[in-house]
Order: sequence, then C-alpha cells, then structure tokens
Amino acid sequence: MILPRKNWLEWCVFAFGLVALLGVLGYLTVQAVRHDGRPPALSVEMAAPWQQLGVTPPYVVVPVQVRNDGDCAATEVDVEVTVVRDGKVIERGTLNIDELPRQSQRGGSVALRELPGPGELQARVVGYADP
Amino acid sequence: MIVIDAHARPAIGQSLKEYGRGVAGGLLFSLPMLYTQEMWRAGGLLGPERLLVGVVGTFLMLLGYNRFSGLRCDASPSEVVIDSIEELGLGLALAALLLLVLGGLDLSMSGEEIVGRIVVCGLAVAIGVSVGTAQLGGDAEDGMSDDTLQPAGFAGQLALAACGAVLVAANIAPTDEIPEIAGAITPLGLIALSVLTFAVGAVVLHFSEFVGAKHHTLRRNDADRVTGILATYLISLVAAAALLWFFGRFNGDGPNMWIAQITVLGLPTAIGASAGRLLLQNQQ
Repeated sequence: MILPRKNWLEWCVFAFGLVALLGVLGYLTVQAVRHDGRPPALSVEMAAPWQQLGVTPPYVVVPVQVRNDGDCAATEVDVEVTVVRDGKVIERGTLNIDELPRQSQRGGSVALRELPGPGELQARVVGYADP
Repeated sequence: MIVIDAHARPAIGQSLKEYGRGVAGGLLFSLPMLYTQEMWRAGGLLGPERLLVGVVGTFLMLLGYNRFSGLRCDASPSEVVIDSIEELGLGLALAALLLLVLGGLDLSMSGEEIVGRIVVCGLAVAIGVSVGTAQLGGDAEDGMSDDTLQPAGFAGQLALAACGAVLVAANIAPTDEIPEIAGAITPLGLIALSVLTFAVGAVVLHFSEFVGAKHHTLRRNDADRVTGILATYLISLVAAAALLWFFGRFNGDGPNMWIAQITVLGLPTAIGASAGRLLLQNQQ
C-alpha cells in the first residue's frame, strides 16, 4: 500500500474524518441493533398553569411536554388538555406537534380562558400520524 | 508493505487553500439543503438503518468521484480513500456547525436526533466539499494540469452522473411537493414529464454544446450517443428512487405512486446527471 505524503495538518484532518466516520457508523450500528420497531409511546406532562395578563383578552397558559419513548417517530401529534370539574368537561384546548422523533420530546403550550383549580387539568394524546 | 509516496510533502498553505476550496464548495453546493427544514426533520424521523445506508452510499459516491474526477488524477487507491474520509469528516463538521448557528440543533434534542440531523445534512455537504476541492481551484498547479487530464470512462461517467443527480436533487426529494405533485399529475402529464426528462439529457449531452460535453461524452457514432443518453436517463431514475426511498417517501404508497414520484423527481436528477455531471468534471 502506498501512503501519500501529507503534512501534519492533512493527517489531523484525516484523523478527524476517520474518527467522525467510524463514530457515526458505530453509533448508528448500535442504534440499528437496538431498534426493534416498537410503535410510538407518547406520554404527556403538564407544568403549573400561569396567567398571561398583559394581553387582550387575557388567557391562561398550560405548558405541555410530550415525550416519545417508542422506537418509531410520530408526526402531527394532537394533544388535548381539558379542565374537568365535578365530572364535566368545562373547557378544552388542543396542541399540535409537527414531528416527534423516537426517544425525544417536544414542548408547547395550550391556552385556556380560566385558571383551573388543583386537580382539574387532564391531558391526553388524541392521535398522531406515521411519518 | 506500506510505502510512503515519493512526492514532496505539500506545504501547509497549500493544504489550507484546498480545504478553503472544499468548505466553499460544500457551502456552494449544499446551502439549499441546509436551509431546508425538511432536511432537518428527516434527520430526526429516519431510522438508524436508513441513515447507515446513507452514510455508506455517500462514501461510495465520494470514492467514485475522487477516483474519476478528484483533485489528483494520478491518485492511488489509498489516496482516494483518505481524501474521501477527509471530505466526509469535513462535511459532517461543516453541517454540525451550520445547523448549530441556524438553530437546527439544541441540547433538548436526543442524541439520536442530533446525530440524525448532522448525518442527513453532512452527507450532502461532503459531496460539495469534494467537488469544491477539485473544481474550484484557479491554479493548475494545485491539481491536475491540462496535460494530465484524462476523461473518465463509461463507468466513471455513470458514477459522476450519480453524484451530480444526488447533489442537485437531494434537497428536493424530502419536500412535500414531490408527493403532492405526484398525487395530482395525470398519466398524460407523467408521460410528458418523462419525455421532457429524456430530452433534457439529450440536449445537454449532445445538442447544446454544453461545457465539457465534447470531452466527457462518447460520441463516435449514433449508437454511442443513444447509449449515453439512455444510461444518463436510467441513472437519473435510479438516483431519484434511491433518494425517495432514503427520505421515506415510499412509505405507505402503492407502486403507481412510487412511479409517479420517481418520474416527478426524475427531472431534477436528470439535470444533475447530465449538466451537473459535466460541471463536476475538470474542463478542457
């Protein structure tokens, strides 16, 4: 094998390229071996709601995080947040997330008219599409 | 046995110039991809198996490009491999840097998504780096001189046609416009598009005196010309199918929709496989 004559800079760039290539190949191979095709597993978490008063009309912001622990990505994820009081839904808001890759999370907020009381907020995934 | 090449070791300044050209070429040829959100999204949505195929496929294209039209026409096989590894590394690094600056990466993303985005964008940048290093030099002493220029043979032209097709069409393949157009186009429209695609290749390669066409196409007789046009058309369809498969555009669709999408993307890939291919080669 004939090795080209290179200066230290070229060998450094080559070494970086080799590490990057082998690193990417190794990482993707490990992920591919672990990848077992489980469908999207979507969970929803809400943070404490807060009031946005400086606008007309004022509204209540409910921060929402959606996490996908499955092995497949989901797109067009629809999340519904409801305020349930005495067994009745008194307000409903929705959030749409464009894409949710596997093993990742995305956040957003749902706007409501009134500040819900403790334990009155509920959230669920309504549906999603396959990429 | 490992032997060190007898050529003189290049000066640091010379290497910096080459890398500068590579970075400029990477940006020139792949900025449309880096500014396309569908490319970013694809990085998160594609599975690791598909990304692996993409890395291997791109590396093979870099080998082909460096073998048939790279910076040094007298490059040994080991030099071709080393150049390709360098260009892939530079492509990934440049893509990571630009995605970071453009807001395409953030620390809330999973490792898989970050790697996916860098890989999808970096592969296209790497081909641009390779082309830029070889083609954007203004000084003949940097690379080949006219005396040592040799046109690539038929196999070489096919490899370069694939590189041109991918370079031109990689940022179009993941867009929603392809399935939208393919879903709406009539059968007559598909036939007309196929004829137009075929005609574009023929005009570029043999009728418009396109730069480099005389030097880089076989034209001893009519059979040579027809073979070249057909091969270019075929390569453009194969490249379109490969790109659409890579970006998951066939998922859930039937064969009719596959054919329609390949035909729709076939026009950009045909331009890349004909005009793009000629521009990717050293001109005389």
